Amino acid sequence: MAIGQLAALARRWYRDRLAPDWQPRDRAASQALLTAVGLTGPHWTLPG
Amino acid sequence: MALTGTDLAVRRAILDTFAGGGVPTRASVAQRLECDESTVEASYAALAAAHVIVPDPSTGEVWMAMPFSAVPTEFRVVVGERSVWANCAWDAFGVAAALAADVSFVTRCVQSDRPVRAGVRHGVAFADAGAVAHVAVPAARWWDDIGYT
Repeated sequence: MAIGQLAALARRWYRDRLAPDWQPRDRAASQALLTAVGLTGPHWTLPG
Repeated sequence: MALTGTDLAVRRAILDTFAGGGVPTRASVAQRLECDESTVEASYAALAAAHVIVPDPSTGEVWMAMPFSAVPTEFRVVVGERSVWANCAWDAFGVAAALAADVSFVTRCVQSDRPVRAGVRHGVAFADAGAVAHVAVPAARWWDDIGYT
Protein backbone atom coordinates (compact mmCIF):
# COMPACT_ATOMS: atom_id res chain seq x y z
CA MET A 1 0.00 0.00 0.00
CA ALA A 2 1.07 3.59 -0.41
CA ILE A 3 2.91 5.18 2.49
CA GLY A 4 0.28 7.89 2.77
CA GLN A 5 -2.41 5.24 3.21
CA LEU A 6 -0.36 3.42 5.84
CA ALA A 7 0.28 6.65 7.72
CA ALA A 8 -3.42 7.52 7.58
CA LEU A 9 -4.27 4.14 9.06
CA ALA A 10 -1.62 4.50 11.77
CA ARG A 11 -2.92 7.95 12.66
CA ARG A 12 -6.45 6.65 13.18
CA TRP A 13 -5.33 3.40 14.83
CA TYR A 14 -3.00 4.93 17.40
CA ARG A 15 -4.01 8.54 17.98
CA ASP A 16 -5.88 7.76 21.22
CA ARG A 17 -3.32 5.27 22.54
CA LEU A 18 -2.02 7.58 25.27
CA ALA A 19 -5.36 9.22 26.03
CA PRO A 20 -6.28 9.09 29.73
CA ASP A 21 -9.69 7.55 28.97
CA TRP A 22 -8.39 4.94 26.51
CA GLN A 23 -10.33 1.70 26.30
CA PRO A 24 -9.77 -1.29 24.02
CA ARG A 25 -11.45 -0.98 20.64
CA ASP A 26 -13.89 -3.68 19.61
CA ARG A 27 -13.65 -5.57 16.35
CA ALA A 28 -16.26 -3.47 14.57
CA ALA A 29 -14.47 -0.24 15.42
CA SER A 30 -11.14 -1.63 14.23
CA GLN A 31 -12.73 -2.88 11.01
CA ALA A 32 -14.23 0.57 10.48
CA LEU A 33 -10.79 2.15 10.75
CA LEU A 34 -9.45 -0.17 8.06
CA THR A 35 -12.42 0.58 5.84
CA ALA A 36 -12.05 4.33 6.40
CA VAL A 37 -8.65 4.30 4.71
CA GLY A 38 -9.79 2.07 1.87
CA LEU A 39 -8.56 -1.28 3.17
CA THR A 40 -11.43 -3.61 2.36
CA GLY A 41 -11.92 -7.16 1.11
CA PRO A 42 -10.97 -10.57 2.47
CA HIS A 43 -7.31 -9.67 3.16
CA TRP A 44 -8.42 -6.88 5.51
CA THR A 45 -11.28 -8.65 7.26
CA LEU A 46 -10.61 -9.11 10.97
CA PRO A 47 -11.57 -12.42 12.61
CA GLY A 48 -15.13 -12.60 13.84
CA MET B 1 -13.08 -10.30 30.21
CA ALA B 2 -13.15 -6.53 30.71
CA LEU B 3 -9.98 -4.81 31.78
CA THR B 4 -9.95 -3.45 35.33
CA GLY B 5 -8.80 -0.04 36.45
CA THR B 6 -5.59 -1.65 37.63
CA ASP B 7 -5.06 -3.25 34.23
CA LEU B 8 -5.50 0.12 32.55
CA ALA B 9 -3.11 1.78 35.00
CA VAL B 10 -0.52 -0.91 34.29
CA ARG B 11 -1.01 -0.39 30.56
CA ARG B 12 -0.54 3.33 30.98
CA ALA B 13 2.64 2.86 33.00
CA ILE B 14 3.99 0.57 30.27
CA LEU B 15 3.21 3.01 27.48
CA ASP B 16 4.46 6.04 29.37
CA THR B 17 7.76 4.27 29.96
CA PHE B 18 8.12 3.41 26.29
CA ALA B 19 7.09 6.91 25.26
CA GLY B 20 9.88 8.33 27.37
CA GLY B 21 12.44 6.13 25.64
CA GLY B 22 12.63 3.47 28.35
CA VAL B 23 11.70 -0.18 28.56
CA PRO B 24 9.28 -1.21 31.31
CA THR B 25 9.81 -4.19 33.58
CA ARG B 26 7.38 -5.77 36.01
CA ALA B 27 9.52 -4.35 38.80
CA SER B 28 9.56 -0.82 37.38
CA VAL B 29 5.82 -0.87 36.74
CA ALA B 30 5.16 -2.14 40.27
CA GLN B 31 7.37 0.59 41.69
CA ARG B 32 5.69 3.26 39.58
CA LEU B 33 2.22 2.16 40.68
CA GLU B 34 3.27 1.36 44.25
CA CYS B 35 1.89 -2.15 44.07
CA ASP B 36 3.42 -5.61 44.22
CA GLU B 37 4.71 -7.48 41.19
CA SER B 38 2.04 -10.17 41.45
CA THR B 39 -0.56 -7.47 40.76
CA VAL B 40 1.40 -6.36 37.71
CA GLU B 41 1.73 -9.96 36.51
CA ALA B 42 -2.02 -10.47 36.77
CA SER B 43 -2.59 -7.33 34.70
CA TYR B 44 -0.01 -8.45 32.14
CA ALA B 45 -2.04 -11.63 31.68
CA ALA B 46 -5.27 -9.69 31.24
CA LEU B 47 -3.67 -7.20 28.85
CA ALA B 48 -2.13 -10.00 26.81
CA ALA B 49 -5.48 -11.79 26.56
CA ALA B 50 -7.00 -8.55 25.29
CA HIS B 51 -4.18 -8.15 22.70
CA VAL B 52 -3.05 -4.92 24.34
CA ILE B 53 0.46 -6.16 25.10
CA VAL B 54 2.56 -9.12 24.04
CA PRO B 55 4.74 -10.58 26.79
CA ASP B 56 8.05 -12.21 25.96
CA PRO B 57 7.29 -15.92 26.33
CA SER B 58 10.65 -16.64 27.92
CA THR B 59 10.83 -13.80 30.45
CA GLY B 60 7.26 -12.65 30.96
CA GLU B 61 8.37 -9.05 30.47
CA VAL B 62 6.65 -6.85 27.90
CA TRP B 63 7.88 -7.57 24.38
CA MET B 64 5.40 -5.38 22.51
CA ALA B 65 2.91 -2.77 23.61
CA MET B 66 1.85 -1.51 20.24
CA PRO B 67 3.17 0.66 18.71
CA PHE B 68 6.28 0.16 20.87
CA SER B 69 8.74 -2.71 21.01
CA ALA B 70 10.97 -3.54 23.96
CA VAL B 71 13.58 -5.09 21.70
CA PRO B 72 15.47 -3.67 18.73
CA THR B 73 13.71 -3.92 15.38
CA GLU B 74 14.21 -2.51 11.88
CA PHE B 75 12.24 0.54 13.01
CA ARG B 76 14.14 2.81 15.38
CA VAL B 77 11.98 5.89 15.53
CA VAL B 78 13.55 9.22 16.43
CA VAL B 79 11.23 11.53 18.36
CA GLY B 80 12.89 14.81 19.18
CA GLU B 81 15.89 14.09 21.38
CA ARG B 82 14.95 10.47 22.13
CA SER B 83 14.27 7.33 20.15
CA VAL B 84 12.01 4.31 20.56
CA TRP B 85 11.66 0.97 18.81
CA ALA B 86 8.50 0.30 16.80
CA ASN B 87 7.33 -3.12 15.64
CA CYS B 88 6.80 -2.34 11.95
CA ALA B 89 6.24 0.54 9.54
CA TRP B 90 2.60 0.80 10.61
CA ASP B 91 3.70 1.15 14.21
CA ALA B 92 6.52 3.55 13.35
CA PHE B 93 3.94 5.95 11.96
CA GLY B 94 1.80 4.99 14.95
CA VAL B 95 4.43 6.38 17.31
CA ALA B 96 3.92 9.77 15.68
CA ALA B 97 0.15 9.45 16.15
CA ALA B 98 0.32 8.23 19.74
CA LEU B 99 2.76 10.95 20.79
CA ALA B 100 1.28 13.64 18.53
CA ALA B 101 4.82 14.37 17.44
CA ASP B 102 6.95 14.46 14.34
CA VAL B 103 9.18 11.40 13.92
CA SER B 104 11.74 10.01 11.52
CA PHE B 105 13.06 6.55 10.94
CA VAL B 106 15.30 4.67 8.55
CA THR B 107 14.49 1.09 7.73
CA ARG B 108 15.40 -1.34 4.98
CA CYS B 109 13.57 -2.36 1.84
CA VAL B 110 12.88 -6.08 2.20
CA GLN B 111 13.48 -6.58 -1.53
CA SER B 112 16.52 -4.43 -2.30
CA ASP B 113 17.97 -4.16 1.25
CA ARG B 114 18.47 -0.46 0.58
CA PRO B 115 17.73 2.05 3.35
CA VAL B 116 14.36 3.76 3.24
CA ARG B 117 13.82 7.03 5.07
CA ALA B 118 10.37 7.93 6.29
CA GLY B 119 8.53 9.72 9.02
CA VAL B 120 6.15 12.51 9.84
CA ARG B 121 7.14 16.16 9.47
CA HIS B 122 4.82 18.97 10.54
CA GLY B 123 2.11 16.35 10.84
CA VAL B 124 2.50 15.07 7.26
CA ALA B 125 3.88 11.64 6.40
CA PHE B 126 6.87 11.41 4.10
CA ALA B 127 9.01 8.62 2.66
CA ASP B 128 11.64 8.12 0.02
CA ALA B 129 10.29 8.10 -3.53
CA GLY B 130 8.81 4.77 -4.53
CA ALA B 131 8.46 3.46 -1.00
CA VAL B 132 5.47 1.21 -0.35
CA ALA B 133 4.41 -0.89 2.64
CA HIS B 134 3.46 -4.55 2.65
CA VAL B 135 1.10 -6.20 5.11
CA ALA B 136 1.54 -9.77 3.98
CA VAL B 137 -0.48 -11.55 6.65
CA PRO B 138 -4.28 -11.41 6.26
CA ALA B 139 -6.04 -9.50 9.04
CA ALA B 140 -7.83 -12.65 10.15
CA ARG B 141 -4.46 -14.17 11.04
CA TRP B 142 -2.55 -11.21 12.50
CA TRP B 143 -2.71 -12.62 16.01
CA ASP B 144 -1.88 -16.21 15.07
CA ASP B 145 1.78 -15.21 15.39
CA ILE B 146 1.95 -11.48 16.12
CA GLY B 147 5.72 -11.54 16.31
CA TYR B 148 5.86 -12.62 12.67
CA THR B 149 3.02 -10.33 11.60
